[in-house]
Formats: sequence, C-alpha cells, structure tokens
Amino acid sequence: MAMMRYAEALRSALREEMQRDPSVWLMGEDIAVYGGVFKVSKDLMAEFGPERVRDTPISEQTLTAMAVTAAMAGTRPVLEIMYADFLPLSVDALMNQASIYNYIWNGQVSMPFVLRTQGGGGAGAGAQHSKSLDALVAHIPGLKVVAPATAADAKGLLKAAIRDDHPVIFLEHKLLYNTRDEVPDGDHLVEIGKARIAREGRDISIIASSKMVVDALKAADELAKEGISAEVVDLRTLRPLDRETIRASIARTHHAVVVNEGWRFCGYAAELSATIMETCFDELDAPVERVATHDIPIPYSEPLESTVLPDAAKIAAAARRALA
Amino acid sequence: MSYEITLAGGAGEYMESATVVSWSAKVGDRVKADDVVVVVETAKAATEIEAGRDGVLAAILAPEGAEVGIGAVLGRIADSLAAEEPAVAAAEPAVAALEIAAPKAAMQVIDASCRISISPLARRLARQAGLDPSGIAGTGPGGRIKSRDIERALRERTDAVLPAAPAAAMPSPAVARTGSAVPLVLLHGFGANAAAWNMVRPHLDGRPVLAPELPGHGREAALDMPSLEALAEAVLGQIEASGSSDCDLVGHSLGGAVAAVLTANQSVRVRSLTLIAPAGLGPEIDGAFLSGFLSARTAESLTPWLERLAAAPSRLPRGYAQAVLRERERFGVGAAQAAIAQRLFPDGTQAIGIAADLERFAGPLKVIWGRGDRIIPPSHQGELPGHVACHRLGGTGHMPHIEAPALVAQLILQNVRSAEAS
Repeated sequence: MAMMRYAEALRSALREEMQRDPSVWLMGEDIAVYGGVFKVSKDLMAEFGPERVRDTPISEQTLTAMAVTAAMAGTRPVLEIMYADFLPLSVDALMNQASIYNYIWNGQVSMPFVLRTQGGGGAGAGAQHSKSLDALVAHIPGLKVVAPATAADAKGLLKAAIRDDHPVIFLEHKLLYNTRDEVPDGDHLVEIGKARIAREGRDISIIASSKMVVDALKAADELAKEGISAEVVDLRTLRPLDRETIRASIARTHHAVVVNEGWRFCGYAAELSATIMETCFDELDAPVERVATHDIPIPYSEPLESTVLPDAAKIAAAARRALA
Repeated sequence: MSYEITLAGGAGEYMESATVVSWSAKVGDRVKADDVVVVVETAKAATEIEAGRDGVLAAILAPEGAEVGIGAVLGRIADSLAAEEPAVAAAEPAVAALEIAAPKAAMQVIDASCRISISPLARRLARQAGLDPSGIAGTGPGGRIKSRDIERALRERTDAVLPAAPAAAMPSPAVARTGSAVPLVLLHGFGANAAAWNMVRPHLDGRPVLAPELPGHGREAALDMPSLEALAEAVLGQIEASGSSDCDLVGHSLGGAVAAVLTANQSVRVRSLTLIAPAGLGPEIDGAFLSGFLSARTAESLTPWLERLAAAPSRLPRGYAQAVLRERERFGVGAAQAAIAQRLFPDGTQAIGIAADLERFAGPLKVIWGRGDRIIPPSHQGELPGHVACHRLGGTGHMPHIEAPALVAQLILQNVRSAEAS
C-alpha cells in the first residue's frame, strides 16, 4: 500500500500500462510538454518520448475521431479532453462511430480507446468549466463509463479501462485530484461494472459516484450523530451499472437516496431511481429521494454555486425525508 | 372524486419541511377554487395555499402546528362531506343499504374514498402477516403506512390480547372457566423468531397469542450458558410477565423441546401441548444444515440452506435469507445461536432429550411432522409414548407451520378444545 494523490494514482496507471504495452499512447491538449492542466501526465513525455505522448491542437471533435481510427488500426490511445464541458464536441465520434462500429461490422473491429476527462463544480470555474455530463455519455449504448471516487479506484479502473477492447469514457473530478488515499501495490486492477460498499449501514442506502461519494460519506457522518446508520454505495462504474449491489443494499435498508452531480432533469440520478423501482420495489419503505444539481447553468459566484450543487447537507436532508 | 391539498415540492430537496400555521376553513365548510385554505411557513417565508377547485373541505390531515414534508397531503376537498366520510354516512338509513363495512380505524373515517397510502415494504409485510393494513394509522409523510407501523400493529395485536401483569389480579371467573382468556404460547425454532408464526396466526380463531422469543433470537438477549433448561426458564419468565396462570403451548423444533421442558414448571399450568417436528427425540439432526446456516454470510450462501427447510422452497417467504442476515446484523444473534448449537447439538448430534417430559405430561398432546423433513428425521415420531397423537403431513418439510399453516392451526385448535372440554 502507498499513500497517493488521485492525480498521482492516474499517472501511475498510465505509466504502468505504457511500460507493459507499447501500443498504449497518449494525446490531448497540453498533456505532453506541460504535463496536463491537472498534471496527470507530468514527466511521461520525458520517459516515453513525443511519439507516445502527443500534444494536439484545440479540436476535440477531430481528436476523438482520431482516437477511434487509431484504435481500429490496432493501437490503444488514451485521449484527454481537458474539461467534460467540451464533451459535446466529441459526441458525434462517440455516438456515431466509436459505439457502433463493432456492431455494424459484426464484431470485426475492436475499439480499445479511453477518453479521460474531468468535470464537476465547486471550484468557481463558471458555467463553461463546471459541468457533470455523466448522463450524456452514459446514455450511449456501446460505451462503458467509469467514475472513480478514490485514488485506489482511479488507478485500478484506469488500468482496466486501457486493457478493455471497448471504448471507455473515464470521468474524473477536478476536486478529487488532490485527495489522497491508500493505493494497493503491484498490478492493481479494479473490474469495470462492480460497485463497492464505501460504508456499511442499516437504515438507508446512499447511492453515489465520483466526488458525490465524498459528500455522501460526510452526510453519513452527520446522520450517525442522529442515530441514523447510512450505507454508502460507490458505483465506480456508471455503465454497465451494478444493479445487484444496489438491490442487495436496499434489501437491507429499505430506503434510498440517489445522488449525482449532473443536472436533475433527465439526469443519471433519474436512471438510478428507475432502476431501484424496477429491481426492488417491494423492498422500499419510502419513495426514493433524488439529489442532483439545479437545472440551470452553474454560476460562477460561490454562494450561488454552492446553492445549485449537491452537498453533504442536502444528501443528509434527503435521507431524513426518506426516513420520515 | 376528491382533490388533494398538497404542499407543492417545486424546490425539491432544497426545502426540508414546512409548518402549518393556520387553516381558514373547518372540515365541512364550503371552499371555492383560488380561495386561500391553509397557510404554511417554511424557513424562509409564509406561503398561502389555495383551493384547487370548488367543494367542501372534507379532511384536514395536517392540523395547525404540524410539521409536514414537501409533497405532503395537507387535506382534501370533496363534492360533499358524505362522500368523503362513511362514518357519518353509514349512520343514515338512506345510505345504510350500501353496507359499508363498519369502519374501525381513524384512517378509514378520514379517507375511505381514497386508496390507502402504504409503502411497498409495509404492504408486503402486512400480507405476509395476514394483516389488513386499512385499519392501521400511518406515521409516514401524509399518513403513509410504513413498515414500522405494521411492526407496531403486530406487536399490539400480541400485547392487546394479553393482559398486562397487574390485570392478572382480577381475571373474570367466567372467562377463566370457559378458558377463552388462556393464551396460546407459540415457541419458534432454532434460528427463527416470533415472525415464524405469522402464517399460522390468522387461522387461530382470534385467540389470544403470545409468541415469546428464545434467548439469542429476535430481540432477546443471549444467555451465557444456553442449556435447554435455561432457555425454558427464560421463556417461562416471558409467559409469567404476561400475567397468565394457564397456557396452551405450541413449539416448533428447538422450541418444541423447550415447550416439553416447560410442562414440568410450577408457576404456569400447561393445559395442552402441540409439538411440530420437535428436537429431543433422537440423536440425528442435519449437522450440515446447522453449520451451513450459521456460517453463511450472504443471501446467496444462506438461501440453499434455508431451502432445505421446506419440501418445496417456493413455500418459504420471499426475502427470508435477507431477514435472517438483517437480524444478525441488527441484534447480533449470530454468535448467540452458534453457542446454542454448540451446546445443544454438538458435532451435528442432538444432545438433548424430552421423552421423559412427554411421558409425564397428562394433557392433550399432539406431535406434527412433515414427511419430507430433512432437518430432523420424521422417524423420531416412532419413539413417542402411546398417549401422543401423531400427525404426518405429506408434501411438507421441517416447516409445517409455514408450509401448511391452515392445517397446523386446525390441529392446534383441536388440541386446545380438547383441553377445554376436559
């Protein structure tokens, strides 16, 4: 075990996979010489050379299409899109190329690329640099979508994503890069599609991903002071969704709060709520409570931004409503 | 059709609750659409809520001063009061022909024209317990019935029929003679709890029932030295606390052995004894079941063992494994049950015997066994003394009270009536 920052864990995953497999290479805006705006790819160009760690122009649409064709040609590109807010530029390549080629060509092509990006608010980055677009990518059949909450999962899931023969969208969070936790030594892999119980509890299940897991754990601490034992389920993978872990948790607690930092309307939390209704309706002792971001652009002003985004207090309040 | 006056939830999770400040109409008053009917106050401001249509204010569900959650139903508007309140309507001959079943609970009086509001879990628990939820007052938002309300109703059903300890000082002699106040005491088996009797209870003619829990089961604390006699003593304490001086005793499996030992006690007279697949009549018991049951940590590993209990696993209640695991987690009964198994059934062998107790018991005595019992062999019935009535049930395993509850209840009542007649 080693204590590591989330960003360091990602770098360690990239380095290990590049050492292990010469077909793995990186591209993105300012990732090579500068090392990435969040320093995830720092020093990797010096180690692996400018052929395998490439700076690109600002053109997300072209970059994503390049990643698709490079993957079809037999290499394993890892593309960084600097902000999730720019994902809409990538969507055509994701929705009309990456996710369907394997299907329309009857399995004759594989698509082993990873698109890394980071989203989320709380940094005062304004309406163009704070969005969580989980639902936008998780909506597309043929893509896998992961969203680690811890350094250990960041490393294990990124290594698994690079080895996956299908396109994987890897969602990071700008406020997690400097969080630290223990990362297992050695070839640490985390299976895509498996949630984890981040905290055990018996009264209510809080289902979250990415930075919302951190807020859910704080909410669980608050609730514990009131004698409420909250279980926190960290999804880790948004698609394919680990329905069984969710079902088993709610079969124990009979109450659920679903949390996602994306917008509320047609958001990822709505998918969770529907899944719970479909898989364990008879276990529910109260309606599922949903916590998500207000349906407006993310404000720059701190007081306004914190009003709009979900946080521990809002999650705890939702849990109290479910248990009323 | 009635119209619900609700606290709109536009602000969603950002507003927690509101307090009802004042109603501007009484139940029965006419209201008009867009009239203010109720004022609520949130942390930020007072809000006036208007009637959504013309009609009569038929019910106030959130009185002044009540704190209500977002989306809560505060009251109802109907065309007329009569349509909304069968309690009033039923008293009038003109509508008596409707033969509305006598409304017995407050919920129905307020709300008979609407579907009851009940959580899916509470509905399932009520169905499993044979309980009609329409008479239960809900404590959730807007009067929704939650699982805790069902659990309370089941507890009250047990408590209500058993006089509290002081009441025992003044039993009605008439009642005592006819025996109708003598409770049926139901003792569950190893690893179970009082809920094991939920399927049988609706068939017991409304007789008073006491379902004590064995130490280290349900909510009962564990014993340091869980001998059969110590278990019996703990159960006796629960029966004594109910104030009963007589009882009809029913026991399943380990509870059957406890019941047999209890027949010899000096303080509560056992009138009749009905044993279902009792322990203590021979050395054989399914040791693999005991160890598998005790060591399983997940529903996946527990379910195959639980399925061994019944001849047809589909007869077992849904969510059984989860309920067992939940009880272990909540009340820590796992270790206590392992200690009981270690002491009473060491090495997969029954180290207890009840033949002598049964030999001595002079009252009506029945022993019921499922022919398909894979936990304790039905052949143990062959060891019983001649005065015992033996029933062998086809198509059932170790859980006749769950697999064939109506028949088991019928046999229990036969035994009880036989005791009353003698």
